[in-house]
Amino acid sequence: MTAAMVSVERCSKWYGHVLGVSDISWQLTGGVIGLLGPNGAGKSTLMKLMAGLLRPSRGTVRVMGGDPAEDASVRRRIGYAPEHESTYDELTGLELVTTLAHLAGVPRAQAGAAALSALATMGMQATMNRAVKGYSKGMRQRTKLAATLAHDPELLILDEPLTGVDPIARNEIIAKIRALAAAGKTIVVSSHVLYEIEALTQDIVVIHRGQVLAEGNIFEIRRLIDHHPHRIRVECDRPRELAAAIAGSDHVLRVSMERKAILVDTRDPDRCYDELAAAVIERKLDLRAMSSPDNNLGAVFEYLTSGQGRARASE
Amino acid sequence: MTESTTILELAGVTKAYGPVLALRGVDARVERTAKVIGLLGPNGAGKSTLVKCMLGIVGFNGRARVLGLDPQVAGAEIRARVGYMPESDIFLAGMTAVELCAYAAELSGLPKNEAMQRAHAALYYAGLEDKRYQVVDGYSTGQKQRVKLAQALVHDPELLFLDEPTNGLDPRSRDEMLDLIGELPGKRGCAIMISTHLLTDVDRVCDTAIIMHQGQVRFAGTTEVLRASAVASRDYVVEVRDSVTTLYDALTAAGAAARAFSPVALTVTLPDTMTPQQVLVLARSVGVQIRTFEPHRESMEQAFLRVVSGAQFAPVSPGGPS
Amino acid sequence: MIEATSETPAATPVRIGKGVIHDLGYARYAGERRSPSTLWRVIMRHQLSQTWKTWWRWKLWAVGAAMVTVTVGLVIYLSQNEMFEPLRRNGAAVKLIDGLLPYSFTFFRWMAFGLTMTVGSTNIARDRETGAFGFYFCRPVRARDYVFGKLAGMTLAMASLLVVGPFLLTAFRIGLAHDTDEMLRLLPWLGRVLVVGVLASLVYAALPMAMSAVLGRRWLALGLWAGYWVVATGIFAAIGFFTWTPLIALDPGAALGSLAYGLWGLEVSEKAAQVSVTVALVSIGVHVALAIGILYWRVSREAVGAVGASA
Repeated sequence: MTAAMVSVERCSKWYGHVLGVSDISWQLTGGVIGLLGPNGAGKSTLMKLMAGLLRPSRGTVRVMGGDPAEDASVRRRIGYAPEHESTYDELTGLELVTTLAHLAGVPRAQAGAAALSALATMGMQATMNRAVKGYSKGMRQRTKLAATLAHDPELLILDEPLTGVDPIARNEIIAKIRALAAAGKTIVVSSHVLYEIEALTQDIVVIHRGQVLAEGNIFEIRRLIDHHPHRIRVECDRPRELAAAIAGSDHVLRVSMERKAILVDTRDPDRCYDELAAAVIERKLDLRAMSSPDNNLGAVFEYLTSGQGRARASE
Repeated sequence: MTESTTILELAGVTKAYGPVLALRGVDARVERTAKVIGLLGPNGAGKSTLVKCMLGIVGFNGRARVLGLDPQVAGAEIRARVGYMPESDIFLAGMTAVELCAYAAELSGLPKNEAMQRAHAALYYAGLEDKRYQVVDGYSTGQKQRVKLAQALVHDPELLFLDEPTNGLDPRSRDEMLDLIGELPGKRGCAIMISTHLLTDVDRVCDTAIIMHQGQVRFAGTTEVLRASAVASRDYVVEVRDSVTTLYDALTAAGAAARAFSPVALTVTLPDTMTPQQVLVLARSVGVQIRTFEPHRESMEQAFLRVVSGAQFAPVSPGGPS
Repeated sequence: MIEATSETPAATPVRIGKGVIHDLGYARYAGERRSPSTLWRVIMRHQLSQTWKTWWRWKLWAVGAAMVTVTVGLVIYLSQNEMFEPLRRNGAAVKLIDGLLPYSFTFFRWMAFGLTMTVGSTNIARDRETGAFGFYFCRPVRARDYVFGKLAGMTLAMASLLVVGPFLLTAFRIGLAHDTDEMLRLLPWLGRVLVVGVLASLVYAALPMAMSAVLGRRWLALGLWAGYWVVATGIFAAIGFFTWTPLIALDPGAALGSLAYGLWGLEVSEKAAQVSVTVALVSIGVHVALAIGILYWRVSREAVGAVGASA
């Protein structure tokens, strides 16, 4: 049995009256994990606890078997990229990453080479000798990531690494992160932009009000919310006929009409999809489109964090 | 209200900062029929320089008309009719939201009482009714974004320029902000230009797009035209409940070209002999439940990458509809 | 729910009054918009209302100035005919009733310095730090409107400390005159007081604001201003004192003091840093013009960079 990379046991952290996380228990074995949650839910706190920048008020945090807050040798194997960072703008990218690498434990003699290779991995060879002051947001994010990589950590903790990055650079950074994961590193990424998470990984953890609300495979979690009402939109050539066919089922809560489509609110999406398909086939309807606004990560997230999902999602 | 038929006209606009050419001959024309315009482009494409030129803050070569006015001559008048929501924080310290918006309105030329009334109205619209008498310094990120929106529209502008309006917002707040923005043209009769890197936002609210790259405009037109240039009408996206491989095998066996892009979804090009209904029949016969079946529209991200790189670019994110 | 009971009256038709639902929809603004050249007044008003807000920004020093006024007034009233040591006229001693008034400017200037520490020197830097320049310059406000408005506001605030008190004291002094002839002779004092007060207001408004505009950070601007006014100017004055007298005017404070004494035809008793009225006026003029120039230059530069910074 492989030891967990990160193990959080009954951990709570508060700052005076302000609650960071509340009684969290969680294990991370490896791969890329997406950390989601509304603002103020506790994502940054959890990340700082894992990186050893905060001590838990209660409970324990263990990374690779050690306590990151106490043990510097553990921290050397962790790379943490915070969301906001003020840097020394007058330094060049290379100087900055070299300094940070040295601070992270790389011996002075090798710090330069490590920084160089990290910046090259992030595609910054051409621009690393310019002062950070003139960098665009995308370049700053890449520099930050290079600094996180320079000391070759096994665990990467990235807080909103893609904010403000243009679409081209975003794709490149996402590809780099996936490459790093394929090379065996464990990566925890938080983001508000759900489709970025979807591009990176299938494993997510949803933090809400300081607790772990849901964890695991996106698609599994999506299936679990089948217990809540879904709205399904079907566009076809004879919508009223379809409406008549489906309205008789007891799981249907409401049927609305659009000009060329119907909207069905159903309590049992699983049965409803089957029945809709059957109705389309039997009546030989010309199907144009079928979709549900409830069938994506955003809807899952909304459902979970709006309070309806708590009891169900933990099943 | 200005009389012109266009919101924006740019012809050969060039701007150099010393040896660096920030804008190399920008051409674009946006009619008044456009409601929500997305201004897109990689960093360094010249978007911020373009905004400065449009608002008359810096000089430039070439011809430009914003709402029918020339920025180099009537810059102040343009700024009185354009609302600007910046990406960074722009709050004067120690003011309440109402004071800030009223001051903003007065600085845009409105008389004092009118300014105060409209400040309240703008804050109601932005959803800050409860908090408007509190000092802005204590607001959360989402509330600060709303105040920025309110101060941009308080002086009844004809054109609103929003710079990364959903920056730092969690998904629910982002949805709310996009709803607010999407309703503005209808409720306030103004046009909106959004500069953002989040192409899903653009997909959701914009009807027109201007794509810039390396100081030039690569595309200016409606999103329909943008996406129509790359879509085939027989392409569909199919999403299933369980694993996609069964359906993939069945479709391929039936002669359709399919490509799975996630464990539960694939795109398929239907041959002329196959109708959508037959896909359902096929699915049922192999015991697969279909949950989504939609014509495959090029996502905004693909369109953007295509325009900017001038070639088919495979995005890393799933290629389905956003 | 309407219930029909046996008490329901017989069916005589009852007149129902009219009811209306108003459309609270949005009305576009069709009125006039101010031209940008009038915006400085809005900014000035805003500056003044912000300064008024807390107890420590302006009110503290206003109370101080009031106390100075009352104290000096009392001293003048009670000790009218005593001699005033620190000042002389052409070598001869001077009565307190004549000398204390120009001398009292020193005290009012302390209050003004206090105001520069709480508001004057951090003003523009604070705007820059909080991003307010973006707020101002994405609107029809131009650099000159901003500078003029802020300067006008600050000068007015200073004038409330440097002009009002001295003016009242002067009026009081004139009221103590023995006869109408003396009163008429003393009337020019009102003019002198206004000149000194207004010039002092300009100095205390413009110089700290210029420093605030040069340094982007509030505390740095505050420190630079305090260091300049308290230390550097003293050094200039000392250099001038020991070498070439007009150099003393490199200290605007000394120039203001000299102006006050000079206009009254007085000189300081002990050998102290004093220059002629002409030199003082030139110094003040140059300092203020330089400060306004620097202020305008910095704000114009910021105006361009503040909007659309990140797209």
